[in-house]
Amino acid sequence: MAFQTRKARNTAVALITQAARGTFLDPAANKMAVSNLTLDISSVTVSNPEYTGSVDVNGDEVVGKQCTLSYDVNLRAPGGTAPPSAGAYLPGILFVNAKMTEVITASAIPAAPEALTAGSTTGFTGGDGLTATADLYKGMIVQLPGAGAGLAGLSAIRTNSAAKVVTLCETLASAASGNYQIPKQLAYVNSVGGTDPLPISHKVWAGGKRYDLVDCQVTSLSVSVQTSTSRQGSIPVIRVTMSAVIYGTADEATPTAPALGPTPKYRNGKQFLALKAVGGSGFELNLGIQTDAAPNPNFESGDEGDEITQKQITLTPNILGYRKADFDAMAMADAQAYHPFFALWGNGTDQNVAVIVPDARFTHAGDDLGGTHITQSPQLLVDVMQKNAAIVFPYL
Amino acid sequence: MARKPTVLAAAPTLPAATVNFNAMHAAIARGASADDAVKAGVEATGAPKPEPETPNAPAAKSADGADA
Repeated sequence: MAFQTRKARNTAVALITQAARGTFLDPAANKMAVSNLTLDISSVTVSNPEYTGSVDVNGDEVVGKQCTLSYDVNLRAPGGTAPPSAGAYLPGILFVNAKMTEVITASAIPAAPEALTAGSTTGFTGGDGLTATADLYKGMIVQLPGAGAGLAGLSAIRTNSAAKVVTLCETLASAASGNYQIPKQLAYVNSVGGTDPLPISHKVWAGGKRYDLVDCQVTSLSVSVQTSTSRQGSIPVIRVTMSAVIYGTADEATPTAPALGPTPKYRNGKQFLALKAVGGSGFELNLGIQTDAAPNPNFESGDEGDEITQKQITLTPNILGYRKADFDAMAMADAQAYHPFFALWGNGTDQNVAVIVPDARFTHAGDDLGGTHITQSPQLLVDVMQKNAAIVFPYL
Repeated sequence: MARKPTVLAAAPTLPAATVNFNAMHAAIARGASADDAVKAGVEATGAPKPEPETPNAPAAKSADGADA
């Protein structure tokens, strides 16, 4: 009689934010569709230096085990007609653990569209519906119906002054006019505060065997968005790696992960860099996370678990190489001034995604002549400023 | 005549947690401080709160098991 085989595609994942470090929380109700999953488990060893009276050496001592979980998540919006409640958008659990803030704007601001004044192609002045707090709306999506219907009428706020002067991350085709309103949206923005995020509990089913993981901490997270063209398609994904502690294992049939429908493709939207609509094959937003575990012999493992010890965000677009008169990336790298990046795509109703970096500095990049079109990949450096990187899901 | 509240000059720093922007926005419009505005935004979500800046390490024990 042969044992039952285990099939790689019979894989599912569930996750939840823990209430406290060290306490496993059952995430079974939060099943999330993932791909490219790896669960690496390896021994931590230390060599035994004792002399044995011969040239032979005893085997290493096994001190413990190290567990690393990584997978991809298709970058979809939560869907529905309004932002979900706290923690209900499951990929958002990863963003928050990567030291981002989940910002839920459940009702539009102001409640009804309001007339703007002093409209230009790069901004406008808001009315009584806005609060006179500088940069309160930075990194948010604003709807400007005068600029068009659907995605065409959505823009990103680069900054707002105490005088309610709003500056955009793009250049509109004509001066902003008519009304404005900040629509309902779910956003994940870079947190520069001093608070540590709570760890995550996971259940990972692989071919009928279940791994329970506690104190999962994101050690690497990037958002990879590639342009889909008439010749080839690509699915925007979140790539995440976590350190974890194995809480337990059991044999359990793999549950079904929900089918969530097609993922919005990066096309038929907007890509503005330094206020200019530039083409290119896509971009990658990397949170640049570093973690470490503080040693502490009071703990069973000998340490207090992984914590984020450094985060340095970069955004690397692959853009078409333009003539100097059209887009001079080298001059921008030389000057080291701040420039915004704004990407927006989706179906114009319930599946819209935006990636916004209000202020970034260019690095130098040469022309890449390896393909049919000349391209450039300057890295955009993101300084530590409030809400200076955001992934936003606006609702129309 | 009631005076308009003085609102925050600059946006408050956000924690690595969930914030209800509408609640935070309303608190700022009422003249709340940065801390109170963020607190209002976090509490309106009912979500787990982030860990404090200084994690609580287990209390050290003396040889006889009593708290040192």
